[in-house]
Amino acid sequence: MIERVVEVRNQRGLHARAAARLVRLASRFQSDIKLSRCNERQEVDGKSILGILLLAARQGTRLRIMTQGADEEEAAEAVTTLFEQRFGEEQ
Amino acid sequence: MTTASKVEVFFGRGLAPGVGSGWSLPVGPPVSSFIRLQIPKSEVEAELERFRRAVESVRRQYEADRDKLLTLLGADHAAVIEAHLVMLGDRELKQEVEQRIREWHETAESALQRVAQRWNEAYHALKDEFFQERRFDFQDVIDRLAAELASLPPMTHEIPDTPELVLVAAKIPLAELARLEIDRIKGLVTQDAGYTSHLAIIARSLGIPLVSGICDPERTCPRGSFLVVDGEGGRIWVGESREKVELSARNILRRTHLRAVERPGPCHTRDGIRVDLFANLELPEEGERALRLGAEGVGLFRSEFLYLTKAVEPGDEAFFASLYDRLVRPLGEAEVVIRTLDVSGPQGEASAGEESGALGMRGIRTALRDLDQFVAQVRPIVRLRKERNVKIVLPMVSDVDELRQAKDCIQEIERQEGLPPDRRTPIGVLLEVPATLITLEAVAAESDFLEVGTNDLTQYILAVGRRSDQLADLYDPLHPAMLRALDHIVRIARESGRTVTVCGEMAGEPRSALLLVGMGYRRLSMGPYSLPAIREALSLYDLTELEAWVTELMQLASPSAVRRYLADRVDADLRRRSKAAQVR
Repeated sequence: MIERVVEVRNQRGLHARAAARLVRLASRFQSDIKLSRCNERQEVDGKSILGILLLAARQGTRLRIMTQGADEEEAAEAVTTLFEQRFGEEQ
Repeated sequence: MTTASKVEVFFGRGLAPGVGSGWSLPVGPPVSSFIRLQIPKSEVEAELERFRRAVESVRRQYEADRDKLLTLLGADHAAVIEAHLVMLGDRELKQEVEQRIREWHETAESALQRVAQRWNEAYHALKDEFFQERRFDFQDVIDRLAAELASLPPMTHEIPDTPELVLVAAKIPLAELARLEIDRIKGLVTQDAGYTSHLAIIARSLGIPLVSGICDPERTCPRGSFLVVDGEGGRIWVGESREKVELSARNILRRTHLRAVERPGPCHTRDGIRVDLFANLELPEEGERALRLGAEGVGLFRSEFLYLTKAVEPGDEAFFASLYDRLVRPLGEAEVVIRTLDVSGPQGEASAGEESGALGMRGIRTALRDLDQFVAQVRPIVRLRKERNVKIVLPMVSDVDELRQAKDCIQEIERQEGLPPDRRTPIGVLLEVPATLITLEAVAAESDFLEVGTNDLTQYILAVGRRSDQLADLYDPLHPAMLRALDHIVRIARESGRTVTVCGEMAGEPRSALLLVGMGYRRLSMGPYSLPAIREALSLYDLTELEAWVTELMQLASPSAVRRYLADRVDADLRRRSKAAQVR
């Protein structure tokens, strides 16, 4: 299993459109992708928009990303990059 | 059901201002009552197929709605439906429902209801209001699936042939707005909608009054009953006879007729002291209406509202340019103060150590840590400045250093844009962090103008969250500490030769507005629909009377003494004079 910590950097936080983007990306991987708030135990499915919105992650929230499966490294990398690139909301 | 002679009044929460009246048209999806039904094992596959068919059918409905909304309201609002579509396809939702059908042999209806309940509870438990309200989007998906499963396609009701309709439903489907001519919709009455719900946002941008929090509205307002909807007071009047309902609600209806008149002249106290009224706006389209209601200009444009509800990137200069342009273009030479983004966590709910929220990353703090975003907001303002009277007010400033940094950045943009020195953008500070009051002389010296954000200021001075239910009685904008703070601000502003505008909610409440003028404030900015009431209240008093109240109030040390004084002296007198003025 691979675990990474990311910060929600885009100003709107993990809102519906960003969440939808994350779901689309996560669904491309075979691995299980889970997310949780850094200081909380509740995990949500990175391939479910309902779960992701439940994180109520505003800008500045730190999230743990856990991937497990055949392509766990690629999945962790891709998800982390999406967060780092602020869900492409920069340009 | 109301009897023929009776008119009933129900209280909810006004979410979109204005007053409208018309015939009730219930538009909710048909109410289906679920009974937990098991299916024999042999029917599991068929039941799974039934659920999938319902999902497909609802998907087609949403796609059709999206196309309708696209034509009617444009891409921004149609994007709302996209979120519904992604939710409809959610794999957890699908997995959980299918698992219940497959393993527990539940009917699709029962499985759906139980899964929905679990998610609803999870969303309900969130502290963040914005995310909490996403459950209404989710519930829309569930309702449609349920209706589809019951083989009762939603929205099968006929539309009556009357020109004035009030749409009524526990949850009003957005597509209903697309289905009718907007001009015929005079009001909306619903049970569950939040301030940031898409329905409320669309209602405000279309100028349709909306009252939420009415319990079981389709029964409360049966089809064909006549309704008056007061989107400011959060009230509805219901009855069978139009005449009787209109008679009961005549005071509120009369106010709307008054409001229809042409743009009024300047606002004065009874003895002729001029007070300039401005509007606080969230939607650019409200600007013209605000001027017609008597605003001199826009005292505070909250740019984050649309930003938060739409899928916009923080550095999207084009978005801000078009937003400001839509706001400013119809307003001619009127003064327009734009607040740079102030996005935070849920107001007043931040706990110590949390990074967002009232005490965290917001306003100028975010701006100075991400100058690119700040530039994207400021550059379009600077460009507008070449020909329009726009100003910038900075939120959440705590000290002169922050102010100077922001000014340096703005002035650099002005140089890049070749703005002539005599058109320099006036830059003001929104006084809301108590530190700026304590060092106000220095802050005023560095600012071109001052504004007071009384909502946040109250919260920070009294250390009470604005939305704290348990401490609601402690959140008191007329607390003696607040009265002294407001008195201090207006004095220092005058000594420093800076204009000062009160922009919080208290500026839009008649009695607080009277006291503010008594203290010396001459610029009040409020929600546009409060303008007529404030104008009227000010016209009933001489300045000396207001000053006398303030002098006496300033002697009082306790909040309870202030409240008593306000109730006994101010409120009673204001009621008496308003009534006398109406009779005239």
